[in-house]
Amino acid sequence: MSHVTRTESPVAIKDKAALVSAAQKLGAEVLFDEEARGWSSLRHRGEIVLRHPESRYDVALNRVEGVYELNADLFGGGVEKVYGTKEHPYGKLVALYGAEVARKVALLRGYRVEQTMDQRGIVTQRVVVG
Amino acid sequence: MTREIVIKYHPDGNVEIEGHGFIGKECLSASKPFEVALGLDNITREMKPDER
Repeated sequence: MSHVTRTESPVAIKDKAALVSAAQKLGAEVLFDEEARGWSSLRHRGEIVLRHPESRYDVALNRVEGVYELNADLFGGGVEKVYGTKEHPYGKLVALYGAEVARKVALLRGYRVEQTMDQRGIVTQRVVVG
Repeated sequence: MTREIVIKYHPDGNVEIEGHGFIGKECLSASKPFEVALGLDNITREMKPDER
């Protein structure tokens, strides 16, 4: 029996730098081409692996047709506590990823960006155009 | 008046984009680069009276 769950992210994760930045904002250590830790001796390789001191298990990300898929052992709730919510285990990560992508767009245009995240994991970004 | 775009990213993957202070459909062109960069589809748009 496997404890690994595959989730297709609703916002397509394609930008590696934005993903790394989002994960680091959540306090994760970002590893490359590494084994992700799962239950017992279960391991799964990731082009990118997210490791966090508050989660026993890691998140592995691998690209499929240019889009990163997220895989982790969700047992115990450690992953959802760090990266998302009960309903959406990677929700905070995906929300922050989107915000990082949009931040790049805004800064390239010389816009000012303010950003907050609430307890529910909703990221609000205010882009001041002028 | 300050023109700004407020983007809300929900944990379920939904994204809301709102334009404030724009004239006419200027807000649509301002938000377009963000929609493209985020790869958003299935977009529902609602124009507010003060921005028509």
